[in-house]
Amino acid sequence: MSNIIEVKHLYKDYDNGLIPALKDINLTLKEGKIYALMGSSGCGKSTLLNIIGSLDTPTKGDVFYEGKTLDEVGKLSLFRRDFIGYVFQFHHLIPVLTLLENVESALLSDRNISAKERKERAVGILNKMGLKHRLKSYASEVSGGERQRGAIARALINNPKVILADEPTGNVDSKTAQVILETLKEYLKTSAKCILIATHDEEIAAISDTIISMKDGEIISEHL
Amino acid sequence: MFKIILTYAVRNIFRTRLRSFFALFSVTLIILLYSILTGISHSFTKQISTLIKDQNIDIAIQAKYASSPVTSIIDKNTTDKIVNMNTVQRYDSLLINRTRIRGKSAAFLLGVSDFNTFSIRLGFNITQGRSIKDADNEVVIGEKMSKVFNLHVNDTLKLSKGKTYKIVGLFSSWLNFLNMGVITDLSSAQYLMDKKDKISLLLLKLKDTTKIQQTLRYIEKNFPDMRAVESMQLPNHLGPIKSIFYFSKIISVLTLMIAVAVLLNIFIMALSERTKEIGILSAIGWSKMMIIEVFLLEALLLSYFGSILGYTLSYPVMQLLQNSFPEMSMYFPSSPDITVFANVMLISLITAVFSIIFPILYITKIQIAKAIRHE
Repeated sequence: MSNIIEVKHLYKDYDNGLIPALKDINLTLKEGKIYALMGSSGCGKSTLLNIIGSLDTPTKGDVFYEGKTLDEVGKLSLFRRDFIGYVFQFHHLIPVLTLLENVESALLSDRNISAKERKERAVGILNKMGLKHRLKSYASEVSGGERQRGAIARALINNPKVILADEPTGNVDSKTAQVILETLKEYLKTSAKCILIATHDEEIAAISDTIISMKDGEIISEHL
Repeated sequence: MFKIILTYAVRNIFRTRLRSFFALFSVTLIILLYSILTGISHSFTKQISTLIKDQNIDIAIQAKYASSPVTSIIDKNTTDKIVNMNTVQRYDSLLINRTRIRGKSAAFLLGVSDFNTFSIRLGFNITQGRSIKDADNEVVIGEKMSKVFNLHVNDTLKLSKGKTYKIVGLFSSWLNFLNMGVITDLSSAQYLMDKKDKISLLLLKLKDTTKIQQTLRYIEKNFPDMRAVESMQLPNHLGPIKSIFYFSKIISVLTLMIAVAVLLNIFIMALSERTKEIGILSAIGWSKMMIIEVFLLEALLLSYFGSILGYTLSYPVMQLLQNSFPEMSMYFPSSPDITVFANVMLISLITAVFSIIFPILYITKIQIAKAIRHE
Protein backbone atom coordinates (compact mmCIF):
# COMPACT_ATOMS: atom_id res chain seq x y z
CA MET A 1 0.00 0.00 0.00
CA SER A 2 1.57 3.23 -1.09
CA ASN A 3 1.51 6.53 0.76
CA ILE A 4 -1.02 8.76 -0.88
CA ILE A 5 -0.55 11.74 1.40
CA GLU A 6 2.28 12.64 3.73
CA VAL A 7 2.16 15.63 6.05
CA LYS A 8 5.48 16.76 7.45
CA HIS A 9 6.00 19.27 10.25
CA LEU A 10 2.91 21.23 9.40
CA TYR A 11 2.09 24.47 11.22
CA LYS A 12 -0.75 26.88 10.70
CA ASP A 13 -1.15 30.21 12.50
CA TYR A 14 -3.68 33.00 12.16
CA ASP A 15 -3.31 36.70 12.96
CA ASN A 16 0.45 36.76 12.39
CA GLY A 17 1.18 33.87 14.72
CA LEU A 18 -1.09 35.00 17.54
CA ILE A 19 -3.49 32.11 17.04
CA PRO A 20 -1.79 28.74 16.49
CA ALA A 21 -4.27 26.39 14.81
CA LEU A 22 -1.94 23.48 13.99
CA LYS A 23 1.36 22.58 15.60
CA ASP A 24 3.92 20.24 14.10
CA ILE A 25 1.50 17.86 12.40
CA ASN A 26 3.02 14.71 10.97
CA LEU A 27 0.77 12.27 9.24
CA THR A 28 0.84 9.57 6.60
CA LEU A 29 -2.27 8.37 4.76
CA LYS A 30 -2.16 5.16 2.77
CA GLU A 31 -4.39 4.14 -0.06
CA GLY A 32 -7.25 1.79 0.67
CA LYS A 33 -7.69 3.04 4.24
CA ILE A 34 -10.30 5.00 6.15
CA TYR A 35 -8.98 7.46 8.72
CA ALA A 36 -11.19 9.13 11.33
CA LEU A 37 -9.93 12.48 12.57
CA MET A 38 -11.44 13.10 15.96
CA GLY A 39 -11.27 15.80 18.54
CA SER A 40 -13.33 18.52 20.17
CA SER A 41 -14.57 21.56 18.28
CA GLY A 42 -11.77 24.00 17.56
CA CYS A 43 -8.96 21.47 17.83
CA GLY A 44 -7.93 22.01 14.21
CA LYS A 45 -9.62 19.15 12.33
CA SER A 46 -11.19 21.35 9.63
CA THR A 47 -8.01 23.40 9.31
CA LEU A 48 -5.98 20.25 8.71
CA LEU A 49 -8.52 18.98 6.22
CA ASN A 50 -8.49 22.30 4.37
CA ILE A 51 -4.73 22.31 4.09
CA ILE A 52 -4.56 18.70 2.93
CA GLY A 53 -7.34 19.50 0.45
CA SER A 54 -5.29 22.48 -0.91
CA LEU A 55 -8.03 24.90 0.11
CA ASP A 56 -5.72 26.65 2.54
CA THR A 57 -1.96 27.12 2.84
CA PRO A 58 0.19 26.14 5.83
CA THR A 59 2.37 28.64 7.64
CA LYS A 60 5.17 26.10 7.69
CA GLY A 61 5.70 22.51 6.61
CA ASP A 62 4.81 20.43 3.59
CA VAL A 63 2.12 18.16 2.27
CA PHE A 64 3.15 15.53 -0.27
CA TYR A 65 0.69 14.02 -2.71
CA GLU A 66 2.14 10.76 -3.98
CA GLY A 67 5.53 12.23 -3.30
CA LYS A 68 4.87 15.63 -4.92
CA THR A 69 4.30 19.01 -3.30
CA LEU A 70 1.55 21.33 -4.48
CA ASP A 71 4.03 23.24 -6.58
CA GLU A 72 4.84 20.05 -8.47
CA VAL A 73 1.34 18.67 -9.10
CA GLY A 74 0.57 20.97 -12.02
CA LYS A 75 -2.54 23.14 -12.43
CA LEU A 76 -4.23 23.39 -9.05
CA SER A 77 -7.79 23.37 -10.32
CA LEU A 78 -7.17 20.12 -12.20
CA PHE A 79 -5.44 18.66 -9.17
CA ARG A 80 -8.41 19.47 -6.97
CA ARG A 81 -10.74 17.94 -9.54
CA ASP A 82 -8.84 14.70 -10.05
CA PHE A 83 -7.02 14.03 -6.80
CA ILE A 84 -9.31 15.33 -4.07
CA GLY A 85 -12.99 14.78 -3.45
CA TYR A 86 -14.24 17.13 -0.76
CA VAL A 87 -17.40 16.56 1.23
CA PHE A 88 -18.29 19.65 3.22
CA GLN A 89 -20.21 19.64 6.46
CA PHE A 90 -23.08 21.68 5.08
CA HIS A 91 -23.33 20.12 1.61
CA HIS A 92 -22.63 23.50 -0.08
CA LEU A 93 -24.52 22.70 -3.21
CA ILE A 94 -24.97 25.56 -5.68
CA PRO A 95 -28.55 26.70 -5.03
CA VAL A 96 -29.48 27.68 -8.58
CA LEU A 97 -28.41 24.36 -10.09
CA THR A 98 -30.36 21.11 -9.86
CA LEU A 99 -28.81 18.11 -8.12
CA LEU A 100 -27.91 16.70 -11.51
CA GLU A 101 -26.29 19.97 -12.60
CA ASN A 102 -24.43 20.24 -9.31
CA VAL A 103 -22.89 16.80 -9.81
CA GLU A 104 -22.16 17.53 -13.49
CA SER A 105 -20.45 20.79 -12.52
CA ALA A 106 -17.64 18.79 -10.90
CA LEU A 107 -16.86 17.31 -14.33
CA LEU A 108 -17.18 20.54 -16.30
CA SER A 109 -13.51 21.38 -16.47
CA ASP A 110 -12.68 17.99 -18.03
CA ARG A 111 -12.76 18.67 -21.76
CA ASN A 112 -12.20 15.00 -22.57
CA ILE A 113 -15.68 14.12 -21.45
CA SER A 114 -18.62 14.81 -23.75
CA ALA A 115 -21.80 16.38 -22.45
CA LYS A 116 -23.61 13.07 -22.93
CA GLU A 117 -21.06 11.07 -20.97
CA ARG A 118 -20.99 13.70 -18.27
CA LYS A 119 -24.72 13.46 -17.86
CA GLU A 120 -24.68 9.66 -17.86
CA ARG A 121 -22.06 9.52 -15.15
CA ALA A 122 -23.89 12.06 -13.04
CA VAL A 123 -27.20 10.20 -13.40
CA GLY A 124 -25.46 6.92 -12.58
CA ILE A 125 -23.91 8.12 -9.37
CA LEU A 126 -27.05 9.91 -8.21
CA ASN A 127 -28.99 6.70 -8.80
CA LYS A 128 -26.51 4.86 -6.59
CA MET A 129 -27.16 7.48 -3.93
CA GLY A 130 -30.87 6.76 -4.14
CA LEU A 131 -31.61 10.12 -5.75
CA LYS A 132 -33.04 8.92 -9.04
CA HIS A 133 -36.28 10.84 -8.44
CA ARG A 134 -34.49 14.08 -7.48
CA LEU A 135 -32.32 14.71 -10.49
CA LYS A 136 -34.12 17.88 -11.52
CA SER A 137 -34.73 19.20 -8.03
CA TYR A 138 -32.91 22.18 -6.60
CA ALA A 139 -31.14 22.02 -3.23
CA SER A 140 -33.92 24.01 -1.61
CA GLU A 141 -36.48 21.44 -2.75
CA VAL A 142 -34.89 18.36 -1.16
CA SER A 143 -34.25 17.23 2.40
CA GLY A 144 -30.99 17.76 4.28
CA GLY A 145 -30.08 14.12 3.87
CA GLU A 146 -30.70 14.21 0.14
CA ARG A 147 -28.57 17.33 -0.18
CA GLN A 148 -25.70 15.67 1.63
CA ARG A 149 -26.00 12.59 -0.58
CA GLY A 150 -25.95 14.88 -3.61
CA ALA A 151 -22.80 16.54 -2.26
CA ILE A 152 -21.16 13.16 -1.81
CA ALA A 153 -22.08 12.22 -5.36
CA ARG A 154 -20.39 15.43 -6.52
CA ALA A 155 -17.27 14.53 -4.53
CA LEU A 156 -17.08 11.00 -5.91
CA ILE A 157 -17.90 11.54 -9.55
CA ASN A 158 -14.32 12.26 -10.59
CA ASN A 159 -13.03 9.09 -8.90
CA PRO A 160 -10.60 11.09 -6.79
CA LYS A 161 -7.72 9.39 -5.07
CA VAL A 162 -8.53 10.92 -1.71
CA ILE A 163 -11.87 11.72 -0.13
CA LEU A 164 -11.79 14.40 2.53
CA ALA A 165 -15.01 14.60 4.47
CA ASP A 166 -15.63 17.25 7.10
CA GLU A 167 -18.37 16.03 9.47
CA PRO A 168 -20.34 14.40 6.63
CA THR A 169 -22.97 13.01 8.99
CA GLY A 170 -23.02 16.04 11.28
CA ASN A 171 -26.25 17.51 9.94
CA VAL A 172 -28.26 14.53 8.82
CA ASP A 173 -30.58 12.03 10.40
CA SER A 174 -29.31 8.62 11.48
CA LYS A 175 -30.80 6.81 8.49
CA THR A 176 -29.03 9.12 6.07
CA ALA A 177 -25.86 8.87 8.13
CA GLN A 178 -26.01 5.12 7.66
CA VAL A 179 -26.45 5.51 3.90
CA ILE A 180 -23.48 7.85 3.78
CA LEU A 181 -21.31 5.45 5.72
CA GLU A 182 -22.27 2.54 3.54
CA THR A 183 -21.55 4.60 0.43
CA LEU A 184 -18.10 5.54 1.65
CA LYS A 185 -17.30 1.99 2.63
CA GLU A 186 -18.54 0.71 -0.73
CA TYR A 187 -16.45 3.33 -2.49
CA LEU A 188 -13.37 2.30 -0.59
CA LYS A 189 -13.93 -1.36 -1.39
CA THR A 190 -14.30 -0.78 -5.11
CA SER A 191 -11.67 1.84 -5.64
CA ALA A 192 -8.97 1.29 -3.04
CA LYS A 193 -8.77 5.00 -2.42
CA CYS A 194 -8.06 6.77 0.81
CA ILE A 195 -10.68 8.45 2.99
CA LEU A 196 -10.04 10.96 5.76
CA ILE A 197 -13.10 11.93 7.77
CA ALA A 198 -13.22 14.62 10.42
CA THR A 199 -15.94 13.55 12.81
CA HIS A 200 -17.45 13.33 16.24
CA ASP A 201 -19.46 10.29 15.18
CA GLU A 202 -18.47 7.11 17.01
CA GLU A 203 -20.06 5.00 14.27
CA ILE A 204 -17.61 6.42 11.78
CA ALA A 205 -14.78 5.78 14.20
CA ALA A 206 -15.96 2.21 14.45
CA ILE A 207 -15.59 1.57 10.72
CA SER A 208 -12.26 3.36 10.37
CA ASP A 209 -8.93 1.64 10.03
CA THR A 210 -7.16 4.32 12.04
CA ILE A 211 -8.43 6.90 14.52
CA ILE A 212 -6.36 10.07 14.69
CA SER A 213 -7.02 12.11 17.81
CA MET A 214 -6.34 15.80 17.94
CA LYS A 215 -6.25 18.31 20.71
CA ASP A 216 -5.30 21.99 20.62
CA GLY A 217 -3.87 21.73 17.13
CA GLU A 218 -1.73 18.68 17.76
CA ILE A 219 -2.10 15.01 16.99
CA ILE A 220 -2.06 13.30 20.33
CA SER A 221 -2.57 9.76 19.19
CA GLU A 222 -3.03 7.48 16.24
CA HIS A 223 -4.43 4.08 16.88
CA LEU A 224 -6.10 1.27 15.03
CA MET B 1 -19.67 22.91 -20.77
CA PHE B 2 -20.88 26.25 -22.08
CA LYS B 3 -24.51 25.23 -21.66
CA ILE B 4 -24.19 24.69 -17.91
CA ILE B 5 -22.17 27.86 -17.43
CA LEU B 6 -24.76 29.82 -19.39
CA THR B 7 -27.58 28.17 -17.43
CA TYR B 8 -25.83 29.09 -14.19
CA ALA B 9 -25.34 32.69 -15.37
CA VAL B 10 -28.97 33.09 -16.45
CA ARG B 11 -30.30 31.63 -13.21
CA ASN B 12 -28.05 33.94 -11.21
CA ILE B 13 -29.65 36.89 -12.98
CA PHE B 14 -33.11 35.58 -12.12
CA ARG B 15 -32.34 34.73 -8.51
CA THR B 16 -32.16 38.42 -7.67
CA ARG B 17 -35.00 39.46 -9.95
CA LEU B 18 -35.60 42.92 -8.56
CA ARG B 19 -31.97 43.90 -8.63
CA SER B 20 -31.51 42.51 -12.15
CA PHE B 21 -34.62 44.32 -13.30
CA PHE B 22 -33.34 47.66 -12.05
CA ALA B 23 -29.94 47.03 -13.60
CA LEU B 24 -31.60 46.27 -16.93
CA PHE B 25 -33.89 49.27 -16.58
CA SER B 26 -30.97 51.58 -15.84
CA VAL B 27 -28.92 50.36 -18.77
CA THR B 28 -31.97 50.68 -21.04
CA LEU B 29 -32.53 54.30 -19.98
CA ILE B 30 -28.87 55.20 -20.33
CA ILE B 31 -28.64 53.73 -23.82
CA LEU B 32 -31.97 55.27 -24.81
CA LEU B 33 -30.64 58.70 -23.90
CA TYR B 34 -27.34 58.02 -25.61
CA SER B 35 -29.03 56.80 -28.79
CA ILE B 36 -31.25 59.87 -29.00
CA LEU B 37 -28.49 62.41 -28.35
CA THR B 38 -25.97 60.71 -30.59
CA GLY B 39 -28.57 60.06 -33.26
CA ILE B 40 -29.38 63.75 -33.41
CA SER B 41 -25.75 64.80 -33.61
CA HIS B 42 -24.93 62.20 -36.25
CA SER B 43 -28.03 63.10 -38.23
CA PHE B 44 -27.11 66.72 -38.70
CA THR B 45 -23.49 65.98 -39.53
CA LYS B 46 -24.46 63.19 -41.88
CA GLN B 47 -26.93 65.38 -43.74
CA ILE B 48 -24.30 68.01 -44.48
CA SER B 49 -21.66 65.41 -45.38
CA THR B 50 -23.99 63.50 -47.71
CA LEU B 51 -25.11 66.68 -49.38
CA ILE B 52 -21.56 67.67 -50.11
CA LYS B 53 -20.59 64.19 -51.28
CA ASP B 54 -23.58 63.79 -53.58
CA GLN B 55 -23.46 67.24 -55.06
CA ASN B 56 -19.97 66.90 -56.37
CA ILE B 57 -18.64 70.00 -54.66
CA ASP B 58 -14.90 70.27 -54.33
CA ILE B 59 -14.35 73.37 -52.23
CA ALA B 60 -16.56 75.21 -49.78
CA ILE B 61 -15.80 78.78 -48.76
CA GLN B 62 -17.18 80.82 -45.89
CA ALA B 63 -15.92 83.83 -43.93
CA LYS B 64 -12.95 82.91 -41.80
CA TYR B 65 -14.19 84.01 -38.43
CA ALA B 66 -17.76 82.83 -38.88
CA SER B 67 -18.71 79.88 -36.70
CA SER B 68 -21.32 78.75 -39.18
CA PRO B 69 -22.74 79.76 -42.59
CA VAL B 70 -25.49 81.72 -40.83
CA THR B 71 -22.95 84.27 -39.56
CA SER B 72 -20.72 84.16 -42.63
CA ILE B 73 -20.61 87.13 -45.06
CA ILE B 74 -18.80 87.04 -48.40
CA ASP B 75 -18.97 90.26 -50.41
CA LYS B 76 -19.47 90.50 -54.18
CA ASN B 77 -15.94 91.60 -54.91
CA THR B 78 -14.46 88.55 -53.24
CA THR B 79 -17.00 86.24 -54.83
CA ASP B 80 -16.30 87.55 -58.33
CA LYS B 81 -12.54 87.19 -57.96
CA ILE B 82 -12.81 83.62 -56.67
CA VAL B 83 -15.29 82.34 -59.23
CA ASN B 84 -13.19 83.78 -62.04
CA MET B 85 -10.13 81.74 -61.11
CA ASN B 86 -8.84 79.47 -63.88
CA THR B 87 -9.38 76.34 -61.94
CA VAL B 88 -13.08 76.86 -61.31
CA GLN B 89 -15.49 75.00 -63.57
CA ARG B 90 -18.69 76.18 -61.95
CA TYR B 91 -19.95 77.61 -58.71
CA ASP B 92 -23.08 77.91 -56.60
CA SER B 93 -23.81 80.35 -53.88
CA LEU B 94 -26.32 80.58 -51.11
CA LEU B 95 -27.35 82.90 -48.40
CA ILE B 96 -28.79 81.44 -45.24
CA ASN B 97 -30.18 82.85 -42.05
CA ARG B 98 -32.65 82.03 -39.36
CA THR B 99 -35.84 84.01 -39.54
CA ARG B 100 -38.82 84.73 -37.39
CA ILE B 101 -42.17 83.49 -38.47
CA ARG B 102 -45.05 85.09 -36.57
CA GLY B 103 -42.66 86.35 -33.92
CA LYS B 104 -40.97 82.98 -33.34
CA SER B 105 -37.43 82.41 -34.52
CA ALA B 106 -37.98 79.03 -35.99
CA ALA B 107 -37.14 78.64 -39.64
CA PHE B 108 -34.25 78.84 -42.07
CA LEU B 109 -34.44 81.39 -44.83
CA LEU B 110 -32.44 80.20 -47.77
CA GLY B 111 -31.62 82.23 -50.84
CA VAL B 112 -30.17 80.18 -53.68
CA SER B 113 -28.37 81.33 -56.81
CA ASP B 114 -30.24 78.95 -59.07
CA PHE B 115 -33.49 77.56 -57.83
CA ASN B 116 -33.77 74.59 -60.17
CA THR B 117 -30.14 73.56 -59.67
CA PHE B 118 -30.47 73.76 -55.94
CA SER B 119 -33.71 71.84 -55.90
CA ILE B 120 -31.76 68.95 -57.41
CA ARG B 121 -28.70 69.59 -55.24
CA LEU B 122 -30.61 69.90 -52.00
CA GLY B 123 -32.69 66.90 -52.88
CA PHE B 124 -36.09 68.42 -52.48
CA ASN B 125 -39.31 67.75 -54.33
CA ILE B 126 -42.25 70.04 -54.70
CA THR B 127 -45.06 68.05 -53.13
CA GLN B 128 -47.83 70.61 -53.51
CA GLY B 129 -48.17 73.62 -55.80
CA ARG B 130 -45.21 74.62 -57.95
CA SER B 131 -41.73 76.05 -57.81
CA ILE B 132 -40.93 79.76 -57.84
CA LYS B 133 -41.46 81.78 -61.03
CA ASP B 134 -41.62 85.29 -59.64
CA ALA B 135 -38.88 85.48 -57.05
CA ASP B 136 -39.85 88.97 -55.92
CA ASN B 137 -43.21 87.81 -54.69
CA GLU B 138 -43.14 84.03 -54.27
CA VAL B 139 -41.60 81.51 -51.92
CA VAL B 140 -41.79 77.77 -51.31
CA ILE B 141 -41.83 76.37 -47.78
CA GLY B 142 -41.02 72.99 -46.26
CA GLU B 143 -43.74 70.54 -45.30
CA LYS B 144 -42.79 70.57 -41.65
CA MET B 145 -43.02 74.34 -41.58
CA SER B 146 -46.42 74.11 -43.22
CA LYS B 147 -47.63 71.83 -40.39
CA VAL B 148 -46.10 73.85 -37.56
CA PHE B 149 -47.44 77.21 -38.70
CA ASN B 150 -50.55 75.92 -40.44
CA LEU B 151 -49.56 77.42 -43.76
CA HIS B 152 -50.77 76.21 -47.15
CA VAL B 153 -50.31 76.86 -50.84
CA ASN B 154 -51.69 80.24 -51.84
CA ASP B 155 -51.42 81.56 -48.27
CA THR B 156 -49.36 84.65 -47.70
CA LEU B 157 -46.30 84.78 -45.52
CA LYS B 158 -44.90 87.92 -44.03
CA LEU B 159 -41.13 87.85 -43.72
CA SER B 160 -38.76 90.60 -42.57
CA LYS B 161 -39.19 94.25 -43.63
CA GLY B 162 -42.90 93.65 -43.58
CA LYS B 163 -42.79 92.17 -47.05
CA THR B 164 -45.39 89.60 -47.84
CA TYR B 165 -44.87 86.68 -50.15
CA LYS B 166 -47.23 84.21 -51.67
CA ILE B 167 -46.59 80.58 -50.88
CA VAL B 168 -46.70 78.86 -54.24
CA GLY B 169 -45.49 75.44 -53.22
CA LEU B 170 -44.58 73.05 -50.43
CA PHE B 171 -41.44 70.95 -50.63
CA SER B 172 -40.03 67.92 -48.93
CA SER B 173 -36.31 67.30 -48.61
CA TRP B 174 -34.27 64.41 -47.22
CA LEU B 175 -32.28 67.15 -45.52
CA ASN B 176 -34.43 67.25 -42.43
CA PHE B 177 -33.43 70.71 -41.32
CA LEU B 178 -34.59 72.20 -44.65
CA ASN B 179 -38.12 71.00 -44.10
CA MET B 180 -38.45 73.85 -41.61
CA GLY B 181 -37.22 76.31 -44.21
CA VAL B 182 -38.36 78.99 -46.61
CA ILE B 183 -36.65 79.07 -49.98
CA THR B 184 -36.50 81.97 -52.32
CA ASP B 185 -33.98 83.18 -54.83
CA LEU B 186 -30.71 84.82 -53.86
CA SER B 187 -31.62 88.42 -54.64
CA SER B 188 -34.85 88.25 -52.65
CA ALA B 189 -33.04 86.72 -49.69
CA GLN B 190 -30.34 89.41 -49.94
CA TYR B 191 -33.03 92.06 -49.81
CA LEU B 192 -34.85 90.47 -46.85
CA MET B 193 -31.67 89.99 -44.88
CA ASP B 194 -30.21 93.40 -45.76
CA LYS B 195 -27.20 91.73 -47.33
CA LYS B 196 -27.16 93.21 -50.81
CA ASP B 197 -24.70 91.42 -53.08
CA LYS B 198 -23.54 89.27 -50.21
CA ILE B 199 -23.64 85.50 -49.72
CA SER B 200 -22.97 83.07 -46.87
CA LEU B 201 -21.39 80.16 -48.63
CA LEU B 202 -19.65 79.70 -51.95
CA LEU B 203 -19.40 76.20 -53.37
CA LEU B 204 -16.89 75.48 -56.13
CA LYS B 205 -16.56 72.65 -58.61
CA LEU B 206 -13.09 72.59 -60.14
CA LYS B 207 -12.13 71.65 -63.67
CA ASP B 208 -9.44 69.31 -62.35
CA THR B 209 -9.78 67.71 -58.92
CA THR B 210 -6.02 67.28 -58.64
CA LYS B 211 -5.82 71.05 -58.30
CA ILE B 212 -7.85 71.16 -55.07
CA GLN B 213 -4.90 71.67 -52.73
CA GLN B 214 -3.31 74.22 -55.04
CA THR B 215 -6.56 76.16 -55.22
CA LEU B 216 -6.97 76.01 -51.44
CA ARG B 217 -3.49 77.47 -50.95
CA TYR B 218 -4.15 80.19 -53.47
CA ILE B 219 -7.36 81.26 -51.75
CA GLU B 220 -5.74 81.18 -48.33
CA LYS B 221 -2.93 83.44 -49.55
CA ASN B 222 -4.97 85.88 -51.58
CA PHE B 223 -8.16 86.02 -49.56
CA PRO B 224 -7.04 85.92 -45.92
CA ASP B 225 -10.52 86.74 -44.66
CA MET B 226 -11.92 83.59 -46.19
CA ARG B 227 -11.80 80.00 -45.00
CA ALA B 228 -11.66 77.55 -47.88
CA VAL B 229 -11.84 73.88 -47.14
CA GLU B 230 -12.11 70.72 -49.11
CA SER B 231 -15.80 70.07 -49.10
CA MET B 232 -15.66 66.85 -47.06
CA GLN B 233 -13.97 68.82 -44.26
CA LEU B 234 -16.71 71.43 -44.13
CA PRO B 235 -18.70 69.80 -41.31
CA ASN B 236 -15.59 70.02 -39.10
CA HIS B 237 -15.45 73.75 -39.63
CA LEU B 238 -19.03 74.50 -38.89
CA GLY B 239 -19.25 75.75 -35.34
CA PRO B 240 -22.51 74.10 -34.35
CA ILE B 241 -21.47 70.79 -35.87
CA LYS B 242 -18.09 70.92 -34.12
CA SER B 243 -19.92 71.60 -30.88
CA ILE B 244 -22.30 68.77 -31.57
CA PHE B 245 -19.36 66.50 -32.32
CA TYR B 246 -17.62 67.23 -29.02
CA PHE B 247 -20.92 67.12 -27.17
CA SER B 248 -21.56 63.70 -28.64
CA LYS B 249 -18.13 62.48 -27.53
CA ILE B 250 -18.67 63.74 -24.00
CA ILE B 251 -22.06 62.07 -23.88
CA SER B 252 -20.49 58.78 -25.05
CA VAL B 253 -17.91 58.85 -22.27
CA LEU B 254 -20.47 59.83 -19.62
CA THR B 255 -22.85 57.12 -20.80
CA LEU B 256 -20.13 54.52 -20.56
CA MET B 257 -19.15 55.65 -17.07
CA ILE B 258 -22.70 55.64 -15.77
CA ALA B 259 -23.48 52.23 -17.29
CA VAL B 260 -20.28 50.77 -15.84
CA ALA B 261 -21.06 52.28 -12.44
CA VAL B 262 -24.54 50.76 -12.41
CA LEU B 263 -23.38 47.27 -13.33
CA LEU B 264 -20.27 47.50 -11.18
CA ASN B 265 -22.52 48.12 -8.18
CA ILE B 266 -24.61 45.07 -9.07
CA PHE B 267 -21.57 42.83 -9.28
CA ILE B 268 -19.97 44.09 -6.11
CA MET B 269 -23.17 43.09 -4.32
CA ALA B 270 -23.26 39.77 -6.16
CA LEU B 271 -19.67 39.08 -5.21
CA SER B 272 -20.40 39.65 -1.56
CA GLU B 273 -23.37 37.28 -1.67
CA ARG B 274 -21.67 34.59 -3.70
CA THR B 275 -18.25 34.48 -2.06
CA LYS B 276 -19.02 31.09 -0.56
CA GLU B 277 -20.20 29.73 -3.91
CA ILE B 278 -17.02 30.91 -5.59
CA GLY B 279 -15.03 29.07 -2.91
CA ILE B 280 -17.01 25.89 -3.44
CA LEU B 281 -16.60 25.98 -7.20
CA SER B 282 -12.86 26.44 -6.75
CA ALA B 283 -12.79 23.54 -4.31
CA ILE B 284 -14.51 21.14 -6.71
CA GLY B 285 -12.05 21.92 -9.51
CA TRP B 286 -13.38 24.92 -11.42
CA SER B 287 -10.60 27.04 -12.81
CA LYS B 288 -10.52 30.79 -12.16
CA MET B 289 -11.30 31.38 -15.81
CA MET B 290 -14.48 29.30 -15.63
CA ILE B 291 -15.75 31.28 -12.66
CA ILE B 292 -14.88 34.58 -14.35
CA GLU B 293 -16.78 33.36 -17.44
CA VAL B 294 -19.94 33.06 -15.36
CA PHE B 295 -19.69 36.66 -14.18
CA LEU B 296 -18.78 37.86 -17.65
CA LEU B 297 -21.79 36.11 -19.16
CA GLU B 298 -24.09 37.69 -16.58
CA ALA B 299 -22.62 41.11 -17.29
CA LEU B 300 -22.90 40.65 -21.06
CA LEU B 301 -26.50 39.47 -20.84
CA LEU B 302 -27.58 42.44 -18.71
CA SER B 303 -25.57 44.91 -20.73
CA TYR B 304 -26.66 43.73 -24.19
CA PHE B 305 -30.31 43.18 -23.39
CA GLY B 306 -30.55 46.60 -21.82
CA SER B 307 -28.70 48.23 -24.70
CA ILE B 308 -30.72 46.59 -27.45
CA LEU B 309 -33.91 47.52 -25.64
CA GLY B 310 -32.74 51.09 -25.16
CA TYR B 311 -31.67 51.46 -28.78
CA THR B 312 -34.90 49.94 -30.08
CA LEU B 313 -37.00 52.28 -27.95
CA SER B 314 -35.03 55.34 -29.02
CA TYR B 315 -36.74 55.60 -32.42
CA PRO B 316 -40.33 55.57 -31.19
CA VAL B 317 -39.30 58.05 -28.50
CA MET B 318 -37.68 60.31 -31.10
CA GLN B 319 -40.83 60.04 -33.20
CA LEU B 320 -42.82 61.10 -30.16
CA LEU B 321 -40.49 64.04 -29.57
CA GLN B 322 -40.72 65.10 -33.21
CA ASN B 323 -44.49 65.02 -33.06
CA SER B 324 -44.49 66.98 -29.82
CA PHE B 325 -41.87 69.52 -30.92
CA PRO B 326 -42.10 69.70 -34.71
CA GLU B 327 -39.95 72.84 -34.91
CA MET B 328 -37.09 70.68 -33.61
CA SER B 329 -37.70 67.94 -36.12
CA MET B 330 -34.92 69.14 -38.41
CA TYR B 331 -32.43 67.75 -35.94
CA PHE B 332 -33.84 64.26 -35.69
CA PRO B 333 -32.66 61.42 -37.91
CA SER B 334 -35.17 60.09 -40.38
CA SER B 335 -34.05 56.47 -40.05
CA PRO B 336 -31.98 54.25 -37.73
CA ASP B 337 -28.27 55.02 -37.83
CA ILE B 338 -26.03 51.97 -38.06
CA THR B 339 -23.10 53.92 -36.58
CA VAL B 340 -25.07 54.64 -33.44
CA PHE B 341 -26.02 50.96 -33.19
CA ALA B 342 -22.40 49.91 -33.61
CA ASN B 343 -21.38 52.36 -30.87
CA VAL B 344 -24.10 51.01 -28.59
CA MET B 345 -22.80 47.46 -29.07
CA LEU B 346 -19.27 48.58 -28.32
CA ILE B 347 -20.40 50.47 -25.22
CA SER B 348 -22.25 47.35 -24.06
CA LEU B 349 -19.14 45.22 -24.40
CA ILE B 350 -16.89 47.68 -22.60
CA THR B 351 -19.49 48.14 -19.87
CA ALA B 352 -19.77 44.39 -19.31
CA VAL B 353 -16.02 43.87 -19.13
CA PHE B 354 -15.35 46.76 -16.76
CA SER B 355 -18.27 45.97 -14.49
CA ILE B 356 -16.72 42.66 -13.41
CA ILE B 357 -13.36 44.11 -12.45
CA PHE B 358 -13.89 43.50 -8.75
CA PRO B 359 -15.04 39.91 -9.19
CA ILE B 360 -12.02 39.24 -11.39
CA LEU B 361 -9.65 40.73 -8.84
CA TYR B 362 -11.24 38.69 -6.07
CA ILE B 363 -11.26 35.42 -7.98
CA THR B 364 -7.61 35.71 -8.95
CA LYS B 365 -6.61 36.11 -5.32
CA ILE B 366 -9.17 33.89 -3.69
CA GLN B 367 -8.45 32.13 -0.41
CA ILE B 368 -10.75 29.18 -0.81
CA ALA B 369 -11.10 28.06 2.82
CA LYS B 370 -11.87 31.63 3.88
CA ALA B 371 -14.38 32.03 1.06
CA ILE B 372 -16.21 28.86 2.03
CA ARG B 373 -16.50 30.06 5.61
CA HIS B 374 -17.93 33.43 4.46
CA GLU B 375 -21.44 34.19 5.74
